[in-house]
Amino acid sequence: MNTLLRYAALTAAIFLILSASAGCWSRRELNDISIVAGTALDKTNDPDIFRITAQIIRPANIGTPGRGSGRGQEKVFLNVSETGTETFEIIRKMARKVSRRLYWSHNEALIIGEALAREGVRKHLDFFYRDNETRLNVMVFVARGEAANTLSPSAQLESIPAYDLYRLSKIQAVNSLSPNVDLRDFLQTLLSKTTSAVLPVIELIEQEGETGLAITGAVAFKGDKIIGELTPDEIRGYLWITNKVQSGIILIDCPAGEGAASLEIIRSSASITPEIKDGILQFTVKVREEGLLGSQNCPLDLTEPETWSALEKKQRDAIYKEISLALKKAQELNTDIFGFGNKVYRRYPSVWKNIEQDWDSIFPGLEVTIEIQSRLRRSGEITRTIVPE
Amino acid sequence: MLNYLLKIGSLLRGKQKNFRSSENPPPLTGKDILGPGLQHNLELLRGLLGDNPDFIFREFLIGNSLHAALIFLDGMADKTTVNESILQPLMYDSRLVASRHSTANADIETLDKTLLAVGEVIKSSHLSEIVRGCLSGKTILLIDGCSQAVIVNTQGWETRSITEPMTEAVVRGPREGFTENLRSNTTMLRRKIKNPALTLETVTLGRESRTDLCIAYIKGVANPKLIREIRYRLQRIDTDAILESGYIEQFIEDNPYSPFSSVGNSEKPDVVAAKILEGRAAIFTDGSPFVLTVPMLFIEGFQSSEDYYSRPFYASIVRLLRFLAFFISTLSPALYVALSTFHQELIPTALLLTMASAREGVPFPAVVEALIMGVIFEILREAGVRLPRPVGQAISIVGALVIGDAAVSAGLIGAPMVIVVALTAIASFVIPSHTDIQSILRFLILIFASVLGIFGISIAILLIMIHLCSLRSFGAPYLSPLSPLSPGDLKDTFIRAPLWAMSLRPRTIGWKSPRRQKYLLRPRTPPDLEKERDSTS
Repeated sequence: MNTLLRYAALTAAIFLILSASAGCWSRRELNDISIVAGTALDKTNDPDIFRITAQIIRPANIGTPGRGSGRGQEKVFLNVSETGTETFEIIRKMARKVSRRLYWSHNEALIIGEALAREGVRKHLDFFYRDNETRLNVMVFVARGEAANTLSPSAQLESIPAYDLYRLSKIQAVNSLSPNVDLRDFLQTLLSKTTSAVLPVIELIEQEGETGLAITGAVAFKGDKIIGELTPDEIRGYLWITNKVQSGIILIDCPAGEGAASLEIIRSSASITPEIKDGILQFTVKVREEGLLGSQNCPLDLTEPETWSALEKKQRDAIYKEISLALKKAQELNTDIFGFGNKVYRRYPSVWKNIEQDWDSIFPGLEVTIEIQSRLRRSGEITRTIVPE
Repeated sequence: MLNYLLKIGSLLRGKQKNFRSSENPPPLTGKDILGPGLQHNLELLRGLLGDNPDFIFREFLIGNSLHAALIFLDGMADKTTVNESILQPLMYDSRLVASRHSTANADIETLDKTLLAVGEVIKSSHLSEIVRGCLSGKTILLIDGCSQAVIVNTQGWETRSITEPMTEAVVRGPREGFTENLRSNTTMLRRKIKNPALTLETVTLGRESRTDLCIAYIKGVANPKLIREIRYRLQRIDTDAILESGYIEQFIEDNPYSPFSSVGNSEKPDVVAAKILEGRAAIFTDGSPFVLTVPMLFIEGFQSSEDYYSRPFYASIVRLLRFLAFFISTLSPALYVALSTFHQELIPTALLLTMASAREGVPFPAVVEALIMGVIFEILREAGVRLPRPVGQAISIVGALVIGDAAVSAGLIGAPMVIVVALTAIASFVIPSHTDIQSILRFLILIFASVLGIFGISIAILLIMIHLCSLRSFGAPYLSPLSPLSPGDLKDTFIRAPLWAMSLRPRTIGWKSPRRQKYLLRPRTPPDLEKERDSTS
């Protein structure tokens, strides 16, 4: 019993000392932190100095239903800007303007100004990979013009622009006309010597007298710099090759007569295979796709198998066109956005060692075979058309 | 400080001198016996019993000449029996006997055999036995010239009738509950198990209270070592009074310093019968409707008698639900505090925003909030239990209004915390037998969580698990069948398998005679009937 009491006293003492001396390690109350929802990086006139704008949530203005405060009247966010030479320095400096410690785990969008992205972003991003609070699933965008401006549009569904942008980016999968890139993907391209990224472009648009935000295209990088812009067809082609098409509409002309048809992509997969034949490096891009007839305005008789094969041919041609456009553009810009080099490294590591240095001269002249297997599966709820034949 | 601790230690050890009040008469020994003279004996007993108004000394004549006296305790002896089955035969009917025998030298044997119309009669000359009998409601018959007394069992006093117990409410199952009367309690058990192997051993404890206890078990099913151990632990108890089975529990439990209870209790005969049939032993205490059962496993708190009366599917879901409720009630405030003060990154963004907006303007840290709400809830609960029923309602209204609504709209407490505490409170009532431990664990884990977040919760859970693994109850590992693992018994742990599939008794308890029923008892059509059906179809 005596020993038991002594143990109890000892345990209590240790517990007290530990909890008192360690403090409450990294404890922070919810009302001591300010949640960062989105971040924008911009160039300033001074080449050594850049600007970070953080979108911070003002929880007091988020109305809880029933309490009747906030919602709609007052802004639920606050954009704070600070300039400096290094990311973390700038972020810490923000404490001059924000009374609570910035909290980065719920940062969901990283927007890079176009001008900055043309100069190179590598050196500004270290913090976002290194810090323990920041996450790698932050969506990365390039903004047309000033990135900071895209953090305060007025026409949006979500009350916090950065979160709206995040959801906007996720929904783009229905069209597959812009890539979805998060920090992890971007980091992989930054770490690779040959592979480069394609980032979606966002810009402010006017609609009904309000400023809205739209994803309007994509830019191709070479290393950490923008090297060129891609057209929608090229973007889709890029997504086909890199196996990132999830859904989307392929618009084709009617096989016979006037009009057009929209074919929905319901399934797709792609593979890139490098091969060395007679000492020459060749690539085969295989794309398998399944689609369905989403809607059409041409007088088609869908009960005829010939109509189907005609449609399937059109579909295949459209995909082929998109892929070849993307390949052509990438080779013109001489940026390996598809990760061809990486494929060579995986399959022929010893060959890769020799050609890695010369990849920039090899890539533009690469021969790529495109193989497409595409199918049209269904025609929706009706077989006949409502357009008179 | 140390001296203070040592002092407490010595107090707990019970080292203080055993002193007995000097006014009490010296204890009776077996040597004190009756003499032949009636008056002498009466004086002797008057001296022992004192002149209390409730001891009745009735002197009368058997037949016409034989002096005799009845001594009984008013209120504890049944008056009808005393009057009609003892006094009447002795005073009137004895004359009929007298026609054949001479009453004058009628010996006690004849009286006993011909005149006492009562079932249970013993003869004794030991004063200690006579006094104890008288105190427990028996009637003492003293006859002049006889150095033996007849102790007639006339016990009968006012008791509460058998009602549905307040605890352990069931939808399906027997509604009767134990009462304060030992004999009627054991009778209820006997009615469930009609087997002479059901053994009842009586022990009397309590220097002043002389409370009767009854150890009940089935010979051949219960482990004899267990019974020996219970006997030993009970006999060690040398205290002044046993007022409730809780007294016994604290004197015999394995782990007096653990917050976990290692002695089970129940108010329902069917529950106690089931436990005895699994190989446990029950301890009935006179004056308490709560019957103790040992050994008790941790898992027993999650088992309800209704699980076995309803079909296995729903019973299994409910069983799992109880585990969930246990975790909710012990962990949820801690998890809330850990997540909202240490690991905000684990909270989905939308939820985090809602929580942050609810915490806006709340003056206390989350852990203080949780402690305040937890303590208020415990106070409300205690008040609700103690207060008379009509006032209790007022308490619940005040509680609901003040902590439910006003505290939130006044900005003292965040709304999510109210939800967490309310959830905790409701969940803790799902496992009634572990309610006390849940409150303790909740605060313990909460404190760990407030210092170290989820690490703290993990440490606390580890400590608790280590402690639980080290516990035993009357030889049975407290965490069995989980640790040590006995796979067969998992049929009745997280789920409840059909009764026909559980052919064996729990291994750690009923291993002396493991087989409970035949194997292959799954319901099936008789083979001949099946053949008939096959041929017709």
